[in-house]
Amino acid sequence: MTELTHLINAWLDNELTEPQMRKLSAFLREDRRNVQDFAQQVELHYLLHKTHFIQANLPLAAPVPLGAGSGDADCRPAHRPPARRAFRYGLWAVMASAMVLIVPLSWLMLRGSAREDTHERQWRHIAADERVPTPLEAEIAHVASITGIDHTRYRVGQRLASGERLQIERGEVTLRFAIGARVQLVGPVDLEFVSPSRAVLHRGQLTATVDESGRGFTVATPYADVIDLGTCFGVNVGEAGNADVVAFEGQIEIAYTSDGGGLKGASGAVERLGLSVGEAVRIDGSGGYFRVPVIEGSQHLSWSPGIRHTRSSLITKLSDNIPATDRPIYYSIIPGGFDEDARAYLDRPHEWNSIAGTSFPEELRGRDYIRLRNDLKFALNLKVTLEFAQPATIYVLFDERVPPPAWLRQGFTRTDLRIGVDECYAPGVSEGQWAEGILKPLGRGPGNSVDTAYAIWARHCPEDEPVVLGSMIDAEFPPASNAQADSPLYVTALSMYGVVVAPYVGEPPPLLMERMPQRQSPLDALSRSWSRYLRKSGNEPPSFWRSRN
Amino acid sequence: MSICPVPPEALVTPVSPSIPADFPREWVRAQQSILAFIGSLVSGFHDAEDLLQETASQAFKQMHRYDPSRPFLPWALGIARNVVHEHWRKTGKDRHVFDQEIVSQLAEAFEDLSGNTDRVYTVLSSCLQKLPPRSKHICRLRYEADLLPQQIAEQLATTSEMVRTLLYRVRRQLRACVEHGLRAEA
Repeated sequence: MTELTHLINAWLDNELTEPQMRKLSAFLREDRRNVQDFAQQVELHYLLHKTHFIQANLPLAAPVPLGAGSGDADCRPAHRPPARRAFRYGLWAVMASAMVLIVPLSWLMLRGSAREDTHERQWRHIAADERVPTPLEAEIAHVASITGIDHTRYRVGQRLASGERLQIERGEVTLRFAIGARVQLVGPVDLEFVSPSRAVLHRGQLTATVDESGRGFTVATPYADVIDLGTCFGVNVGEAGNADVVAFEGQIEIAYTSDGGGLKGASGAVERLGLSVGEAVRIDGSGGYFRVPVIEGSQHLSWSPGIRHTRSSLITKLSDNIPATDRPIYYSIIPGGFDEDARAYLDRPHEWNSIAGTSFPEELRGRDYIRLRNDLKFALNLKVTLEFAQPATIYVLFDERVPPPAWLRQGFTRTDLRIGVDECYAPGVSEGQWAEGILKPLGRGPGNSVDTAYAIWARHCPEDEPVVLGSMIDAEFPPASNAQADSPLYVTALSMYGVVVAPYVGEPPPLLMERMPQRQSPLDALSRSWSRYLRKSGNEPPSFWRSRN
Repeated sequence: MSICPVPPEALVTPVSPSIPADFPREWVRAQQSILAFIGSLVSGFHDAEDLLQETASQAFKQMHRYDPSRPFLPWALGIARNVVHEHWRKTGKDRHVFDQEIVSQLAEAFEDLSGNTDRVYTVLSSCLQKLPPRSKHICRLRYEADLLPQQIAEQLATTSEMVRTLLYRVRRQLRACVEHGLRAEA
């Protein structure tokens, strides 16, 4: 990248410093061609902005796939973010009196109205799907279902009013809040109802799925308030009052005090922390927060912060090298969760499916699945370490479009098993992108609607030693030479791998093959040609190349 | 594809005999170039769009000064230039921006480019389709959600430097694709 290109890109991204501004001025003064180059790039920048704006506001081309796919892969869009800024009514009100300019100022004006229309349409659809009985005005919520409890003073349909407390020692209770929140409680739990949009969780576990109308729904805990910004989230309050907070979908905000004293009668400064899908933290009385790196279970099952360590647990520890200063992302372990239509990623609704014409790999069915964020594909130098309670076989499901990185080639064996991913669309994307034809509803069952093929790699660990998984691409991956084949941009734009873990049962399954010939990566080609050259000249290639030759 | 999502013909019926009939149509044609010109002087979509609105307001007020026998765009760019200068003065940035000579050259450059803007827009739309699907995601985060590299990095759990590199490469690919598409059309 030339210095001028660097400066122009910094300008486009609103990051130009004053010294850089002076440099850019000097470049433009120096040569008129630089002015033309700058103008061209700015023009393209604003055309891209316009293209995306219009795409985002196209009318719906197809019904939004609410609830398509399996129960664990809800394809419902998260709440759309509000328009970046409101239309400037004051100025336009003046101009509207003339009515000539206002209408032709076309695409700027679409902002706001078009978004509101499509937004409203989506949520009407949702509202029709989940009808909630209208409670009396003083009532906050009603009991929608009770499971796992033989004798209880609560009954289905019972209405709960402000000041009441719901306390159960075991089982599950589902509540519907009148403002549009579905709340699942897992005993032992103690929940106090304060107002239609606020409840206090004194103890136990709560998972809330909140509609647009319920935005702002707040769960108070001893040390923090958890505020919905359009999402599905979980809160678990332990005996000491610590709150483990998980963003399963969308976004939430956590308010806590810097002195750890709690928000009620707060004496310390109130801090605010935003959490996005696939992130989890613990708020305790220390005035700070800590990353919760592992969640066992999902929002559709009961879940726990950390690994449960039951007698059947296979994974005893999962850790990574992501610095504490980074986003507090988590890994989800789904015991027995790998099957047809299982959700593939934390931050995408995509599903695993067998590829048309092939059967689902039975070795993997019903095994423990480690669900990762797809966006981890961007992480370079990632190291995820797994430790096991007993000998285990680890399967890595790796995007076939990406050259396998060294840690995978050297530590795993590629099997002849394959599996596919049925891609939906990321929460929050627009109807316009749907209209592009790339975004689509999830299919159901084997071979249906599969978009991408993944190779299955396996490693047997009879000695139950730790296994380290790495990044999608090698850190030394060569720079782009061909945009479609080996550019890091292209590679990192693909999908993160998945991990399935099974107990090691002795000999490799019969379907496992010897190491298959692999697609030659540019680095392999380079090391081979240099090795040949060195051997011809009577030298031995360096040891770190031998594995490649 | 039209530059305007609503056919201009449906919108430009003058409601007052004092408004030149061609004025709204000319504005629609020029609007994108005026926005880009402002965007070359003021960084960030927010500010550029605000100043475009202010330019529209000023243009409307000064409509009677417009001579329909002369090209519209240079006249409108002149108004935009004054609006931007006023913005610089108010924000105290007038010593830290481009000098008059550069501003004049930029105005001329956007006049030169304006004849092609419709074609560039059409070709660009098809170039976007050719991007690897996930590359589009980064474009959406930057151009639709209006996130800056640091914010995109936070969303994607990566570094802002990585995002800057990805954005640079996507822009380079799109520019090459547009140039190729325009040559093929010619």
